[in-house]
Amino acid sequence: MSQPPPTATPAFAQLGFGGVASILWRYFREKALEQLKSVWFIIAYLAVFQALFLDLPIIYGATIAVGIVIVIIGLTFFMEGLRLGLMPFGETIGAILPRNSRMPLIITFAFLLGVGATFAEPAISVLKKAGSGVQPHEAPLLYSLLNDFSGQLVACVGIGVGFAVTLGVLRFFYGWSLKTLIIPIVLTLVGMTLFAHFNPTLNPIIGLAWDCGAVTTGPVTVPLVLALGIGVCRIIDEQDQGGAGFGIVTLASLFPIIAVLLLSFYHLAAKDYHGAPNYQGEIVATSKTSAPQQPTADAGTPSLEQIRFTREEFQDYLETGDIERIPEGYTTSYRGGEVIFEDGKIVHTNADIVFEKKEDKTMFESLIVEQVKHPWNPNTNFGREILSSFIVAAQAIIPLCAFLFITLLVVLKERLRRADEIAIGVIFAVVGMGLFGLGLALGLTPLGTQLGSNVPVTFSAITPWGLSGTVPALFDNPVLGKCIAIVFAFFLGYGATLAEPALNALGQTVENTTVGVFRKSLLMQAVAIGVGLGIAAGVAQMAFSTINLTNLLIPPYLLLVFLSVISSEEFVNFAWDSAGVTTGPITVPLVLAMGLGIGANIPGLSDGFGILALASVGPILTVLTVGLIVNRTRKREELNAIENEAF
Amino acid sequence: MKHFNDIPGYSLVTAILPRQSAHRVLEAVLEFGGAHALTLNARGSLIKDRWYQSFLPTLSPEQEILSFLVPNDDTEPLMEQIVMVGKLRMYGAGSIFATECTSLRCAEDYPLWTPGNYRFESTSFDIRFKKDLIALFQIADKGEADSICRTAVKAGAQGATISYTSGFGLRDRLGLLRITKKREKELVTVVVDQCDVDAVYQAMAAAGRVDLPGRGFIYQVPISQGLTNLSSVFHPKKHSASIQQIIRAIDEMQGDTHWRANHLLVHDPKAADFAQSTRGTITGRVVHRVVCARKDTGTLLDQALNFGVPGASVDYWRFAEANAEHTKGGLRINRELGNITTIVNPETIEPLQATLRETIHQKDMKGACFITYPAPSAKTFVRSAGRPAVEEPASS
Repeated sequence: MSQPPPTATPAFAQLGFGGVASILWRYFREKALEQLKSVWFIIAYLAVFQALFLDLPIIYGATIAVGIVIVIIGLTFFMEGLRLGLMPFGETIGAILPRNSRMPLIITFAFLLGVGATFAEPAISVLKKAGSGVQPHEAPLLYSLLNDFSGQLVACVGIGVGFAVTLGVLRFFYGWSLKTLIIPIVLTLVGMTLFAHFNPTLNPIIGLAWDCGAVTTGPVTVPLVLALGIGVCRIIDEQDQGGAGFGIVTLASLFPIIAVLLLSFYHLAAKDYHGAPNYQGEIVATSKTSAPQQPTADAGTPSLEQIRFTREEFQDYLETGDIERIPEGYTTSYRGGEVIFEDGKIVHTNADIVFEKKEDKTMFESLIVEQVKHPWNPNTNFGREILSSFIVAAQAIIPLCAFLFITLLVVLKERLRRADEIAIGVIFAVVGMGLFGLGLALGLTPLGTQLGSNVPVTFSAITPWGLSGTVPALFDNPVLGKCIAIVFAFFLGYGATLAEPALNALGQTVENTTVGVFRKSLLMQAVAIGVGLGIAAGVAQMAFSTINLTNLLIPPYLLLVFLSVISSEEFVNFAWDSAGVTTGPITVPLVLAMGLGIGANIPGLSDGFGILALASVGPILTVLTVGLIVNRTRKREELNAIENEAF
Repeated sequence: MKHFNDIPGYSLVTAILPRQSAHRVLEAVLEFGGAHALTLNARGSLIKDRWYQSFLPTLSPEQEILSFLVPNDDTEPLMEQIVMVGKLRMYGAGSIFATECTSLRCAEDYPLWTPGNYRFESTSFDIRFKKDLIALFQIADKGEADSICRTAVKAGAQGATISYTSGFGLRDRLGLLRITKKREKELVTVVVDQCDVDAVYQAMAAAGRVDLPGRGFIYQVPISQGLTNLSSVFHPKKHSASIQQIIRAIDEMQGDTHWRANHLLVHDPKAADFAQSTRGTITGRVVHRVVCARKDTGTLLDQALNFGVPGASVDYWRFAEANAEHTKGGLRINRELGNITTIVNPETIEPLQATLRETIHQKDMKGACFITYPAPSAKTFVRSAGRPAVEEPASS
């Protein structure tokens, strides 16, 4: 019964090409404008900040502009695909499965959905790639996990997610509150992380484990998992209906962390990692290969440059003895020696005189002009980019949809209604996700990476991204410069979060299930401000002090546990779920680039991981706070009503 | 052919309650012998009357619509019980109203509420329901409901309730191009006193521009008895609540709201003209609802559209039954029922139902029923103003 009613005449025959095109154009324009609304902020902000505030050119401007247009078109198709295809698909299964089948089948389905979603998630393959950059002698266990046991690692994450989805669904049947589930889980997690932190072999694993938690909840998984949860909750009569159907995403981002930590504990105990007695694999020579330490920045890692005299200038000085010939000027200081008071004069004896070169702006200008002449990145290989992003998109969507379709057809023996519409939706989703990935690779990521790397220019001299040469610090006062960098970090996090597709899908679902009580915009703003605050806090920590990862993570999580205890169930669900989806394809590269740039002068904390972890704590805090405010006003209204009863 | 029984003397009782009391009310009704209830999530209207409120995170009040199909004799005790359990006499505690069905046809396997089974007897206090209420329903595009609610409240309605529904009709005539039109609609429900009906009705119709094509549908449904106490303002100013109480107290004493009609005091010929404007008005139609299992909804909807129904809105209700299964955690497992609402000519009911019954028989669908009740006045786009076409266009 997938056909529309027979009274519908084929639109193309009646309207002609022009008519159809005009309807489609208006439709497309409206949808594209909707997406523009969510991404314009981050794009405009990045461009303006780089070009006007930092006064640096945007390198490869044309490539980036094309990429951004592609991102918007891609998002348009993807979100439309979600609306037409993936969401109704998930909803149909969610509505039919729990009613028509017994518990074991539901649990099996939930488990398989979790495992399948993990394998489909594009970020998982990135994890595998990251393995090549790890030095075995520095982090033997991490190296082994990513190389020797990478199969086990992915399986572990998959099982973790599968188990999480199963538990999430069981929770609805038994009416367990999410609070009582997450508090022990988070405490366990904090305990395990602490344990790992104090073990030198396990310490490097922490970053990987927490990253695995963040990457499993992507824009394809989230709508499907939410639809399943909501479907189950629609038929189960809950006492406390607040936030019914949510919470699976939270569990799906917490369980993989536990799974990965457990796996590493096991290998630590079994002593079969690289260099340990029972190691089976080939010992890699400890010679430092030229493997890239950081896979993110490709076109030039920012470095903090000392302004130096060149050899030629030194020769020149030796010959002429005239330091004044240096065009940029110099500063003079004295080292060592003795100071004595003699005859009413201060005499500095035996001191070394040190000349240091002053920073030069004029020399740099010429470099910029040279680079801006080539607005098109010569390294862009369009064919390869398109191919790879579409393969990723197809991998993420098609197997999952096939799994759902087969379940529907074979297990539930239902036909899919309006299958043509859903098929179009799935095609849109694949096309959209492919374009989105392509546009990210061409436009948004390079732009964000450039700017993220260049941010430290506010407080220190750097080599700007993709350029050679050195720019001096923008502000002479480093504290002011760092503060500006922190403010920048806030808006970067804020804008990037608003553009995240998974969060948009979550917000839409929240609005739909609460019949508009909880608006998408309210949730998005709360989450975006939370992410902004988290990132700003992370940057502040990095810029001002060297605080290690564990100290950065554990206090906020304990605060979260406290806030969760005093919040209402509904907001606990929304808050934790939105934290699970915030770290997505737009935020992560931007934040990593910035972390890399700022962390370049802080040894040991250069991967920006701490910032990402704080970026997922921030939104939980803000959403819970919003919940507390809202509940306070609600309570006041109830009081009002009781007062009024008197009549 | 599956047998459908004609069942006379049933009413549709609708209660709109805040989330907190809805669950309590439902459990109480099922405990006292109520057979089942249909429930749907909804939200109340939120009007911010202070400028700074737009900067605060605010949520609209969460509400739930409970709907009971009850024998007429049980209507009054049921309503009294809901008023008591839900404390409906409190300001902002909700509203309840009953509409007598013009016809009710149920398949034999539809679990009807048996007359006389309901055991609640109110003894503690005497409740007088208003007899002169009218329910207004408006279907509008998603996102428009809030402005419609604001208009309705300004024009004199106490509070408006918004629920989600999906519209079919117009979009399904487009072939695959239908993806370009959103299916999501919002249904605004307002209960008003007779004396306010014209003003509210006109204001809502104007706010939603229902006289333009594709902009929705508004219709009135008479209420046999009811009570409305929905709050609409987010922080009610202290005195506005008490003046409402005074007015309600006078209503109670008078037994009706005719004393409030102010057209006796002020005669404004222009306003009267506007109120009588018949642009897009259709009279004498009926609301036809098909209630069936969720999975059959799509098939029946397609049948109805094939038959020529101009537009239909579909929503899915939770069907809470007293004798439902429970999960291991002790939670009741509800069924989900689909509800297809259309506004039709009274003459078309018989052939429409015949078509649907044939489909139900062929596909062996279980537990369907047809409910109709009057919609004396409705407004939507009609092809030539003032002269309603035979088939009014889609409500979607």
